[in-house]
Amino acid sequence: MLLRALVTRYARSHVLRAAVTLVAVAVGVASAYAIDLADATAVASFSSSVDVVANRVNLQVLGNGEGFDERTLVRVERLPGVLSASPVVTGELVMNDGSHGIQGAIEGEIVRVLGIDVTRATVPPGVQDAQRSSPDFDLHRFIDERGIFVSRRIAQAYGAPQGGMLHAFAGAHAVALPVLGVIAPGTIGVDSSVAFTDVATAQTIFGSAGRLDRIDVVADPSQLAQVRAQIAALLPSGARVVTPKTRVAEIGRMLSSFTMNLAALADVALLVGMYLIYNAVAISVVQRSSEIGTLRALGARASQIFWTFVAEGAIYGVLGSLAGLALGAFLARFSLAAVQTTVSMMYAGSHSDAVIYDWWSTLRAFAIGSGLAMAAAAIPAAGAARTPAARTMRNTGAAELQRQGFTRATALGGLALLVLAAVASRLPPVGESVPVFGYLAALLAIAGVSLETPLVLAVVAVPLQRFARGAELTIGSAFLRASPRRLSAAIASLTVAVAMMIAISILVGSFRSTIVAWTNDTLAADLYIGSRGAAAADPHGNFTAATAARIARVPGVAAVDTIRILDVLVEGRPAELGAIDFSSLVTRGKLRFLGGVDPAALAPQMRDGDAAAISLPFATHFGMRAGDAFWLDTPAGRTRIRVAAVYNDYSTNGGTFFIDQRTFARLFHDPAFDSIAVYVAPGARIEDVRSAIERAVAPLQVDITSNVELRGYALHVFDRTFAITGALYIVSIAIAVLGVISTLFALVLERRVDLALLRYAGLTRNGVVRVVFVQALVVGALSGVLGIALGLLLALDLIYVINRQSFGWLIEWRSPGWFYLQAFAMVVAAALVAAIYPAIVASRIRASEALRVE
Amino acid sequence: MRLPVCVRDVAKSYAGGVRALDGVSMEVGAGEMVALLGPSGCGKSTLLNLAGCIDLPDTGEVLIDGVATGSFSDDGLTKLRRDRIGTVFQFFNLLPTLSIAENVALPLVLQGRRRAEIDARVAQALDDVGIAEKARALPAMVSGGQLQRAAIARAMIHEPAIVLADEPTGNLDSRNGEHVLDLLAQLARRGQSILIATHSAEAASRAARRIHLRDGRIETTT
Repeated sequence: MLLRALVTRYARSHVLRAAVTLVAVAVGVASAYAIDLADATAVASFSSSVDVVANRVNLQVLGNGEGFDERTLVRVERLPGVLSASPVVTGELVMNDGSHGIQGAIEGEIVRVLGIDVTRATVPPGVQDAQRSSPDFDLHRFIDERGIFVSRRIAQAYGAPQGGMLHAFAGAHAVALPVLGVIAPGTIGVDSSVAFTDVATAQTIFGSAGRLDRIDVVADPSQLAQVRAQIAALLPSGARVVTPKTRVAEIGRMLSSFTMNLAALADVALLVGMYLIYNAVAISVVQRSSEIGTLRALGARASQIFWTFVAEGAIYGVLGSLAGLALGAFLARFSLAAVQTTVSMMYAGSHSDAVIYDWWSTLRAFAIGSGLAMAAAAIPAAGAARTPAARTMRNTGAAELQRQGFTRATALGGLALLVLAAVASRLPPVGESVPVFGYLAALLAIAGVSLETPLVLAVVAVPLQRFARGAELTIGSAFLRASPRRLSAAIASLTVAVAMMIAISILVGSFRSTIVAWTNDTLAADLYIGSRGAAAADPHGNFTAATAARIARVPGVAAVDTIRILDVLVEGRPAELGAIDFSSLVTRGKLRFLGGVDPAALAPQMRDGDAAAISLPFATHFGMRAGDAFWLDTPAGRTRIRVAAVYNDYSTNGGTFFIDQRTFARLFHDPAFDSIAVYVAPGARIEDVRSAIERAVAPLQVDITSNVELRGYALHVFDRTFAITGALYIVSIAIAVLGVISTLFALVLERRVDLALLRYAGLTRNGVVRVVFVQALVVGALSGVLGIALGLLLALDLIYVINRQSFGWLIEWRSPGWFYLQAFAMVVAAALVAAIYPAIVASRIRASEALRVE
Repeated sequence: MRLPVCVRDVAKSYAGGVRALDGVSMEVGAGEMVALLGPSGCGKSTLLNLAGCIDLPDTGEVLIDGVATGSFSDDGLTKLRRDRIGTVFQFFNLLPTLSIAENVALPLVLQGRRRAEIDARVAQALDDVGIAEKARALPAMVSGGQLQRAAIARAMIHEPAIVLADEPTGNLDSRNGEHVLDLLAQLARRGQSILIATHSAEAASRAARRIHLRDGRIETTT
């Protein structure tokens, strides 16, 4: 009955506020849920596209970078305890959608090809389904006709039905493959961007004759450990044996920093929504203080009052979360598109056909939404529980005393939290690179500044009232002073939203400027040549030394540099190895080394020893610095690589390290290159040289990108990566503005009698409107100032703690002054817009209402 | 004999140094109706709050049924109010979101009584105060006199030993005021102790004793 007395029927008579609160929670939960689903789907899709295996496979042999000798298969399958072993060759095709140049490189869809042996027992489910759906299909055609199985989506998107041809690029070669089967959508464990072909066909397509990338092993489960040890003993250097679970965990780790950052950002919208819950419950506590006092006088326990208001928060939380789940499920398809774009650009191509609505994400969003709502309600609920029963009989001035104490207590609490935030920001990451204390510092700073709002409000409202001229300003500032709690919550919610906007804008702006400066410094060549079908790190390479020599002889070419990139494992974790000519880099390139290293002095070490220059993200993830060393499995055996220097890099957030080409040739026996940088001779026209190179390398299919185009591409990738963050902070601000509407509306209702009396005393309708706008102006201005201050703190945390610890990126601070003015003007304008409806309601209050109450 | 209400030498001040009560002692016997009289600000409501364990004195002590309440926890005082004290407020203080019957039922709900018992006793209490037909109405839909009768029904439904009334007729016309005083007198005849803070001469005349307060002290007792 207490719930009915204090909450449910009250909410029915304050529909607008209840609705605004529910909408705020719903939107907050929806943002968090949509991002979480998108993250989970992208990760699952990415995992499945690189790791399609049959259910029974319990061990996998994996190559390091460029695969291993296929004769390993025979040795593995002869081992006792091995029930079956299937070879796999993987590679990526870039779909030929008719676009060329840098546009094609960005937009061309990547299809991950798995070359398998269909005669073995470990055929993935997708292939089994495709076979079943074609009753007349003869397995031998798969082998004889050198064809491919593709998903229905790919078949339809690229006009390659069963019996047709699939046109794509494999490295620098155009390929046309007969489509032998189409995989039905929704096949468990198979992503629509995965295609299957015979293992020998894959070796031909990707130029890896005699080599395998993977062996899927079904071992006797009772002898698993023993079989694993036996396989490990016979593997060539550079190959390793893992369980499929380990492999999925590796992929999850690779994406964790990215998904965690995005999830944290989405949770901010939820946090802002929680301020509204706090606000709604705080307002209802104040408005029902008389009823609470009555109940206390009649014998209701403090705990009963407390739990009644916590239940109010729970009702908002549960209903808002349910609505948020429905909205989030709908929005997830859009957020998935955004997240997937980033994952594809930053890590590897993958495509999800549909959002995966997993129970864990759903339960998490519901639990966080409902739990935070209850936690937000608990604060005003505790205040309600402390309402003295004597309040019912006569007001004795206790309210004012409580208010002063409230301001002092919150200010001190806020200060303590800010100090704790500073301490947390100095702590190292947890595990490999999870900036738990960085996030904690952000939360503490948000809470700390929020708790300072009553003090700031008092500091502004007291002199404002004292020195105010004119009725509206005097009355408006008096109202501000009289309701510090409710206004503080509204100011705090708007402050948090503005702060996130400021912080993300500074981060993105600084990061963008840093990238621009970095690309200007480091992209020294005039043209960059890659194969049309180049994946980020092609295991098989695309160009030979002969190609490089041919390009070097093209008129107008002053010099060429060749680059080889390989995916490798360092200490069990994925990393990217780059092989370059270090002497050339010293002469022409401009890697930004940290710690004042002289590249010329570095060159001999790099050339003659097993030394590497590691990127800052690599140094961060692996906890290494110059002078340290790590072990690298290579075809020439396990080699100890010494870290000669650390350089700044933003190209990937994994970890990259460079070794000299001579060292690479010695360790990997691999003469291929992935890309070639061309320096154009003075006086030669870049476009002419580009055309001449295309002719010189024919029939190879290459993409030649100019320096300017490549820089544009880097920024294009960057802008698309951060596009979703803009949407998220707009959501947060929209929620906060709802909070301002709700608060001003509540204040108008609460001051109804006062306003009626003022109308009776001669205040005009417009005067009442101005009183409301004075309050909105102060709320907006304080939120702007506090938001900018908190935003700067959060930006410091994001740039120097969270991103540094997550990705190892060294971002240079950039924030133009006009941006703060713009943000301030925007938040004040938003607060004034939010005041329109409450002002209209206030202006309709009639003077006669005052007489009726009297 | 243990007196239902015994106030011994209490003093109470509020913020800003306002001394509401200063060395006041009084008692109310079982079945006795006592009126607190005096001008506004003399300390009547404060004394009522102290006697009803709604507030605590700065010094002195309040005994309910012979037990000193000074050492009681908040929960202890709450339980005491819930079980032993009924209160009639000047402005009725019915919860606007609950019906008249639900308001009257509150003390029994807070005691955790069974639904059937609550329903029966609420019906009886509403009948006793003459507003049975208003059981389902919300407070906003009934007259001031009916509100105060509902408030009295709420104050007596759990049969408390003590009923406190702060200006119970202050917002009523004379006919309704008289009816409310009749109801309070009826409670006193049933053995309940009634303490009324009032400005009304009519209410004071119904009391067995009248305590006159001025500036936080007892001036006379008649």
